[in-house]
Amino acid sequence: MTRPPGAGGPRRKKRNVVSSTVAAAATAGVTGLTLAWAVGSTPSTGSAAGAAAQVTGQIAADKAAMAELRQSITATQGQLAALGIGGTTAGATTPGATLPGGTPAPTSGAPGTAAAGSATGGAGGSGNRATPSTGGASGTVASHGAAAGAAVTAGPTGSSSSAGAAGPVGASSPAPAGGSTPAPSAGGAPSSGAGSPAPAAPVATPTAAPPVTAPPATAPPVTAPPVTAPPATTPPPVTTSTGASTA
Amino acid sequence: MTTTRTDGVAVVLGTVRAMAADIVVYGPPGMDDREQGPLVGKALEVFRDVHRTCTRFDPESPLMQVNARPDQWHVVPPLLFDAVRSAHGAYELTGGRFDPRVLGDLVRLGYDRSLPFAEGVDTPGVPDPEPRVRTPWRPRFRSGRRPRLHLGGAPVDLGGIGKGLAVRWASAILRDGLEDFLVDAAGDCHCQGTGPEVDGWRVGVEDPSGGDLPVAVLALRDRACATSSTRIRRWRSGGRPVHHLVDPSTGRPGGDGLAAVTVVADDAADAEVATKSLFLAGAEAIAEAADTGDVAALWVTTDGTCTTSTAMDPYVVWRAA
Repeated sequence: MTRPPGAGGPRRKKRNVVSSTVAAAATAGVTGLTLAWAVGSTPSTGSAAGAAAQVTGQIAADKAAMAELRQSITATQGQLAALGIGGTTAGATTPGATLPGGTPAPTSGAPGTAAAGSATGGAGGSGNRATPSTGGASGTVASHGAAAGAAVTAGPTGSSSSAGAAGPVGASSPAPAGGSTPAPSAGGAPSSGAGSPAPAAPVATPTAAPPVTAPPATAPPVTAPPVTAPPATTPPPVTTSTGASTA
Repeated sequence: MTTTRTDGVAVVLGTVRAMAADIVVYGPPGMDDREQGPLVGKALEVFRDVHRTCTRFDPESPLMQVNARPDQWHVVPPLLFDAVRSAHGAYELTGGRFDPRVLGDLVRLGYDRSLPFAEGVDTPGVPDPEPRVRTPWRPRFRSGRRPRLHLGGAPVDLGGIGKGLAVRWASAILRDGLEDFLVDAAGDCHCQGTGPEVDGWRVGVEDPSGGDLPVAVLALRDRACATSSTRIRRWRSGGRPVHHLVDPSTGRPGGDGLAAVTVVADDAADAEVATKSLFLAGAEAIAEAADTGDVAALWVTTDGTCTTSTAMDPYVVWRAA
């Protein structure tokens, strides 16, 4: 039976979603920080009833996983708050959110930002110190209630990153330096609408929350390198000069 | 007057040799130098007039005639009358730091004639002056068709302001017919309009140590600038290095630690007075003096460090690394 376009959309989409394993992964490398959604489909079974039962079961399983993940996120937030870094930025949707350490994250699209389908505000320009953080669900992801949890641990020369700052879908730009270490984490939450094609990304199992690298108790300030251009060595042409006069 | 055009950057509207310098008037690219000839010639003549009237190296000049009897009234040319009155105004404005009565000290150091500084000069040594009690300078003026002047008892040297006054007066003449010009008087200049650039005439600030590159480049529009430097007019007096920027409070060369000071102001004479006043403040006090007075100043210390006051920064379009 052919359904009219859109008639079974949500259901079909939902089915697709719930039968999927979703992983949010952030990779930061020489080509940039890219947050990707990797979807692994589960083979569907024969009958509609059987399929429905499977879907129902999967929904329940995914809900459980999502609840577990939320608990993990809450626990992580508590840990970070206890460390005095203001908790996580999970869920923040304001571009330019301030990173731990006081450096405002650039708006999306700046080097180091991530945005493949979903959006996660990248933080810091090139060379900034990495800022471990939990991945915040935001933008399209957040709207579907999917907890992300891509812990990004950027290397010293990589662009630092902090999830949570939403950026426009598809706005992605390369990070100038590598050194970032993607920390694939469990997604597991049902999600839909992560629209961008998922580049190759590590697939995580939808179980536990991602490990969060605890930042040092006193996070060193994230300081952007000066961008002052060196002075030109050759002066511009002049009409005259002022200096010592003869007399 | 030459009509040589520069390399498409600015047009030389006229030159004159006066005050031991080549005075040049520039116009923007494309300006017809022949059309502006009479006006430019009139402006350049000012430099000759100032030189003839105010030089201290000619005993027959009106200034030296007055200097010979500074305690008497003299009928003087209007130009000399205005020059001395301007110098007195600068004296009062600077609290006496600019004082043209340093003539006696310059003569004592051997600078009693035009010296060949480039060849190296060593004048006979003289003892340092005794600590002095400065008396106020109170010249008197009677304006009118035949202006009269009384120097107040001491001869004066107008070298510290004369060229700036000449640039001031020449620029006033040129403004009657030109909107865009530069008067270059070798150290002092006035920049009217923007010249070849969109934001102002480019003026390089010479390296007082003699380097080929300027220490900075300024963009000046409707502004004048002047520089006081010890690069050229320095010599030895009794074996000791001296220069022409004498501190009137001591009678000795001043400006410890400084090699040059450049000031940007609305008027060339004001800029020239300010450079001397700031120079005499010395390296330790010049920054405060410039900022307190909101003076656009750039100075180079004897170790080569170049610094600008807050008010100067907007004019600097390039500075040496």
